[in-house]
Amino acid sequence: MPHLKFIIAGALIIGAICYLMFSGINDSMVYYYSVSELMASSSDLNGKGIRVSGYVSPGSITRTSGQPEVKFLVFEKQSDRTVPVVYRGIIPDTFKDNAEVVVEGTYQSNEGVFHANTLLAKCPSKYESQGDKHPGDVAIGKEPK
Amino acid sequence: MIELGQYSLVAVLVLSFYGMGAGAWGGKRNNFALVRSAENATVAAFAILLTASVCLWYALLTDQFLVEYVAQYSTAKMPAVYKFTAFWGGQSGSLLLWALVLGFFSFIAVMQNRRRHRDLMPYAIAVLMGTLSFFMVLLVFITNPFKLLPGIPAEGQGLNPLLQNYYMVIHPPMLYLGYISLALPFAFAMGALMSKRLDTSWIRTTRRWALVSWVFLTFGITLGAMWAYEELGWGGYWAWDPVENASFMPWLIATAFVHSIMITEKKGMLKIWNFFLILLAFELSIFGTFVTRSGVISSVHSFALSNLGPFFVIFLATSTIFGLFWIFRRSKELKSEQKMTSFLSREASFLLNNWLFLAICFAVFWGTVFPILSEWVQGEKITVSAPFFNNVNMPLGLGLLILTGICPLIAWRKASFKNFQRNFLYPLGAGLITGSVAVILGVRDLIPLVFFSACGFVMATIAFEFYKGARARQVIRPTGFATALKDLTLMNKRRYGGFAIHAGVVLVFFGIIASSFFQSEENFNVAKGEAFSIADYTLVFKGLKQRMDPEKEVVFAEIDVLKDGQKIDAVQPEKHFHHKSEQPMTEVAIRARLMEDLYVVLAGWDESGKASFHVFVNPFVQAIWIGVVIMVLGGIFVLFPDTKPAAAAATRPVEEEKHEAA
Repeated sequence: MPHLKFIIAGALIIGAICYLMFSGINDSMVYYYSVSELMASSSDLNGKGIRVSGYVSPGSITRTSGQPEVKFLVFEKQSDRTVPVVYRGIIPDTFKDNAEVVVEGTYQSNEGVFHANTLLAKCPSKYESQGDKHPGDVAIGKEPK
Repeated sequence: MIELGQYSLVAVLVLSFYGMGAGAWGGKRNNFALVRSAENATVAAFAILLTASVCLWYALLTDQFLVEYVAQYSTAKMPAVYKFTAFWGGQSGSLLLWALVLGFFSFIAVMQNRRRHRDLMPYAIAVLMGTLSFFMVLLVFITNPFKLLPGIPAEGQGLNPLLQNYYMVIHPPMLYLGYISLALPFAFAMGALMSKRLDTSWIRTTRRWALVSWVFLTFGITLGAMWAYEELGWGGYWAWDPVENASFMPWLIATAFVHSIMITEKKGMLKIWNFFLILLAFELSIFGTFVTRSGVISSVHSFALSNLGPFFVIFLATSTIFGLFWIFRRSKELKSEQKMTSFLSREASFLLNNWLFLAICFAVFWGTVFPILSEWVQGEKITVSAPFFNNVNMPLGLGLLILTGICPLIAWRKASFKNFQRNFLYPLGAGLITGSVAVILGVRDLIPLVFFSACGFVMATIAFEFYKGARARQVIRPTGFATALKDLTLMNKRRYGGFAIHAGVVLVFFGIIASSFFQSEENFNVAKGEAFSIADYTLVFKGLKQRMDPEKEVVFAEIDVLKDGQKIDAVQPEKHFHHKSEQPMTEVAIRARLMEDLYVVLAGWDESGKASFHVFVNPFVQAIWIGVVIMVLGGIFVLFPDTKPAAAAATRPVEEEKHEAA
C-alpha cells in the first residue's frame, strides 16, 4: 500500500500543525471588552490579554516627566463610564484628548487599573472613520520588550 | 468630464455582462462570431475604463471639489503627484483602479490569444468579464467615484499625510497588480475545465501568469513592509495586521502553485490539486481586497465598517461554488498519470512544500478571521496577537527553508543514497560550519542557530549547483568559468532563475531571524548636549530646531552618532505638523547600513528642552530588502524565454536532463 504511508504522514503533519495552532492561540488570545464590561468583571480577568476601545477623557492625560509613560482615562460614549489606563511605550502622534483609542494589556480588578502595552489611537475629527483609509489611520505604539 | 466618467462606468457595466454571456454562449455553441464579439467587448471595456480613469484623474488634478471623492481625498494645495495618487487613496477610487487593471489584463489576454488557445478563450473571457461585472456593479451602484456633492466646498479634505510619501505612490498599485493578475490563471484554469482541454497548453499559460502575479505580489508586499518600517516608527516592518495578512495569503498560495505546477508539467501528477490552488489563490485575492476595503476585521488600517461586505461575500461564495463545481465535474479527466512511490523523491518533497505553504496560509487565515469566528461561536470577540503567528509559522518556515535546499536537487521517483551523498554532503558541511561560526560570533539561542545553519546549507546547495553546472558546460564547450556560468544560466532560465530566487529567499529568512532575535531597543529622555548609548553607538543630542515648509511645520532633533569615540555620522529625526491636519507625523531617522540599521524616533519634548527618543538597532534588515530585490529580479528573469547558443543547441549535454527540473 504505497498510499497508506502518505496518508499517515499527512495526518501526522496536520496533527502537528493543529497542535501548534491551538497551543499558540491559547497563549496569545486577547479578549475584546467594553469599558462597562470591564468594570463589571470579577477577578477572573487577572492576567488575561484584553483589548478595550473607547475615547480619551479630556484633560485626563498625565505624562510622567522623563519617562515614556502616560496615564489617562478611557471613557465609552454610551455610558460615560471610565477606566484608568497606564501605558508605557511609544505614544502615537494621534494620541490626544477625545481621540478614539484601542488599548491592549491586562486588567487587575483589585487595583482597578488597566496596564496597556499597546496603544492605538485615531485622530478625533480630521479623518473620519469610513473604514476605507487603507492604510494609515493610526500610528502604532508597541511596548518595548 | 464628470458626466463622461459616469456614463463610461455604466457602459462598462453593460459591456462586462455582455462579454460574460457572449463568451460563455459562444464557447458552448462554437459560435465564432459571438466569441469574437465578446473579445471586442473586452477590448472596448478596457478603452472605456481608461476613459473613466482619465476623467477621475482630470477631476483630481483640476480640483473639481463638486465630486465627493475629490473633495474627500484631495486639496488644491497638494502637490500634483499626490493628487494623482489620491486616485487610489480611498474606496471607490481604488475599486476603479481594480477594474481598470482587470480590464487591462483581460485586454492583454485577448490580444495574446487571438490565435492561440481558441478552445478555452471563450470561457476565460467569460470568467474575466464576470469578475469585472462584479466590480462594475459596486462602482456604479454602491460606491461611485463620480458621485456629486449637493454644493461645491471651497476646499477638499486632503489625502492623509501618512499616505503622502513615495511608497504609497507605488505600493497599492503593485499589490493590486499582484491581486488582479491572479484572475488570469483562474480564468485560464476555468477555461480549460469548461472546454475540457486539459492537455498541457493551459498549464503553460497559467504558470506564466501566476509567476507574473507572484512577482507583483512579492514586490507589493515588501513595499508595504518598507512603508511600515519607515513611516510608522515602531521599529519593525511586519505586525501581522489583518491587511498585511490579506496580502500575504494569496502570495503563499501563488508560491505553492508555481511549485506544484512543475510536478503536473513534468509528471502529470497533482492535477486536481493545482486547480484547487489556483481557485484558492483567486478567492484569497478577492478576500484580500475585501479585508482591505471593508474593515470587517478591525485593524490598524481601518476602524469602521463600510457597506461593501455583503457584496463581497456573495461574490466570494458564487465564484467558489462555480470553481468547485467545474473541478468536480472534470475530476475523472484529472486523474494522476503516475503514482507517488517514495518519501525520498522530488515529487514527495514538492508535495510537502505545498502542504507547508498551505499550512502557513491556513494558520494566518485562522488568526486573521479569529475575531469574527469567536464572536459567532462564543459571542465573545477574541483576537490573537503577533506571538501566535510567530510561534506557529516559525517551525513551518524552517521546514520550508530546508526544503528550499532539498526540493530542486533530490532525485525523481526515489532518491538513492548516492544521490544524497552527491548533492547534499558538502552543503550539510557548509550548514554546520555556518552554525559554528555563529556560535563563535556569540549566538547562543537555539532557534537562530538552527535557522542560520539552514541558511548556510541552502546557500551552499545553490552555489554548488551553479558550480557543478558551469563545470559540466566547460566539458562540452571549453570556455572560461564565467562564460560557462553565463551560458548555463541563460540557457536554463527557469532552473537557474529559480535558484536565484531561492538565494533571495535565504537572505530574507536570514534578515528576518537576525532582526527579530538581535534587535536592541531603548527609550531615552535627555537634555541638550547629553550623550546616550545603545549597542555599539553613542548618540549626542545637540538640540531641537524648527523649520517651515510650505505644507507643514517641522521640528527636528540634531543628533551626532559616535562609535568608539569617533563621530561617524549625524541623524535627524523629525516631527511634522501638517497645516491641514491635527495629527503630527513622526519622521524616523534611519541610518541604514548592510550590517545594521540605527533607527531613531523623536518621541516628544517638554518645556525644559528635554527630548525623548526611542532608539532601535536592527541588524540585517537590509538583507531582507536585498533578498526581495533578488527574488523579484529572479522572477522576471524566469519569465524570459531561454536563449540557445548555436554550439549548445547542437550538442545536448547529458547533464541537462537533470537541469530541466526548475
